[in-house]
Amino acid sequence: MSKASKLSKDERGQTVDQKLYRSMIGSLLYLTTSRPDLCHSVYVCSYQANPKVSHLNVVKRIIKYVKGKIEYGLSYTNHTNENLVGYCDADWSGCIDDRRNTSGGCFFLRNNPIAWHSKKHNCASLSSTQAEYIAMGSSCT
Amino acid sequence: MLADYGMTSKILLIHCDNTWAIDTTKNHVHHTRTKHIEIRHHFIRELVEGKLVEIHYIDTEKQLADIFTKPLDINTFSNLQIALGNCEH
Repeated sequence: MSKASKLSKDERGQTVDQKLYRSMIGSLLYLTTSRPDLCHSVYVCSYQANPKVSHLNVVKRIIKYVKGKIEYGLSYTNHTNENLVGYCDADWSGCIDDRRNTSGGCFFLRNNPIAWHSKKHNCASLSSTQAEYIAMGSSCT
Repeated sequence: MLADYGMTSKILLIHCDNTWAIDTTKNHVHHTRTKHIEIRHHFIRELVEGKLVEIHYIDTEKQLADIFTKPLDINTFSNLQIALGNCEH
């Protein structure tokens, strides 16, 4: 959640129980369908293949955040704007392990959020323009 | 799919904060740094040509998708949350 924190594979770290870690991530992923603010942070700590203590601490931090903001939820209002509006964005080489980008986007119908996503690209990009272009392309499919 | 719900949306507006990327969708210019893009991502150009999608520029501060791509500071994060409609009940 913090601006400075970056997760990596952390190969030297202490291994934690994979089953526990996976179930924690699984429940948080379920929660992202109704809480868009968690979408990116849950996605960032998807190191299910080889979870370490540093990753587990971040997941615990997210759970603490959810506990603190338990009363938050999406509010839907009636709006006359009938158009479907989308927003898309990409960061450039955000992942420090393989330098791939993350694209994110959300769609609004009548000014209410209906769909959102946060996803790592399949390939590393050479420029932020390329990253944004790919983000636009993938958000439309 | 929206037609099933009795809604007829004319056009999909997409907001993007990179002008060069927007220009690339309209007119493909080969450049060394935008060269190796998979063909499926060029689908957006077809949509723009067919006038199904319109891409507009938006300021980085108003870009709501920022919350899904990068870690933000607390002020920006809470402002974007309010803009998304995620609030206290």
